Amino acid sequence: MRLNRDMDEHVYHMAMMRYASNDFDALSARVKPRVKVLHTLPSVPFVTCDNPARPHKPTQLRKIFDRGLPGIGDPRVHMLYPISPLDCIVISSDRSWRDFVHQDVTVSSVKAINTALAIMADEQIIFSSPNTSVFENWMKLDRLRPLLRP
Amino acid sequence: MPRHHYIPISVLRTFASRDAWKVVAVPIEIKRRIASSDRNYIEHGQPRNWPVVVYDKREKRFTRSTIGRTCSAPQLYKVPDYDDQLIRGIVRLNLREDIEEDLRGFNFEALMKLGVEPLDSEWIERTAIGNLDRDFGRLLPLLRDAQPISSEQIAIVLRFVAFARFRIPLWRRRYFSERHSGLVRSLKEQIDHISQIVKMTYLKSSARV
Repeated sequence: MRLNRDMDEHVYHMAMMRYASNDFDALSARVKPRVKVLHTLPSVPFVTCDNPARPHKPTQLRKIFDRGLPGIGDPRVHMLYPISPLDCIVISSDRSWRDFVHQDVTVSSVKAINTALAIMADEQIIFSSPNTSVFENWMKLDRLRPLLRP
Repeated sequence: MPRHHYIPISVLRTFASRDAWKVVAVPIEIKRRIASSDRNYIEHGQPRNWPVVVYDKREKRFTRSTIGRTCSAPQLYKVPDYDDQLIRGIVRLNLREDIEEDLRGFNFEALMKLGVEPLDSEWIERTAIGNLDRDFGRLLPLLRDAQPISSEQIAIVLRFVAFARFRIPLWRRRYFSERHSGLVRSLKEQIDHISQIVKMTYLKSSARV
């Protein structure tokens, strides 16, 4: 029992050290990822969550619940990472994107991103204020359920 | 007990809210007191104590939390006790070539040292993860101010976001064994094998005596 626990613990730490090391680049090893930094206004801020970087297809938000994990090699797949209530990193292998660009976004785009982040959250969704009208209308926080592949 | 953040404080602090008291279901006098202390924390306190509005998906309710208790877990990356003989044995096993093949790029010399020298239990947090968070943290002002960044800096962003996926407790709970169960199993088999050899050697030497 103790051996199992110690071994898992040890291999987990080795994996963490490897994944965080300079020579490990999980994304660029497979595809040529492109980066957008989206900027919004304080009236409709981004949320964040405890599982923000889960790959997803932004055109299929309702399917996140029951579908597998899409690969970042698919140009329709995005990875999100909000860096403040006003700024969010989006990564995709979409060839029509430039390598790196800043872009202002519309209210509807922010709401779609927030909806994706809320669905992906494991336990916590973090808001910059008690204003929670930051999601697509169909998405109800109290009806969120666990994902097949979180 | 130290808590390790899997969303760095440099990011979370921007979500701090002076209005987090509004989601607390208590009488108005207490709300006023919370509002006042929250203002004080944000103006004079450590970011770890800053208030933030969190929706708890399992409890299905809003809470007023603090940055310190949000997207963090106790001792998430705390290294195990390498004074333990068993753990030192595991470290030595990891020096074998076939395992190195499995974990290309890992610094095995550093890992070996862990087994024989006193160890800072926050080593992973301070070095491997800390360095990446620090590099990314330096870019945050540029990213937020819509500034251009170099290709080396883009590489840091990519590494940081990719690692964000691995560092969360959810990944450990759900995907770690899927990904690394082979390695864990192989190590356990080797330990079993070695303990058999040790046992036989001991029995032989006892028989001679």
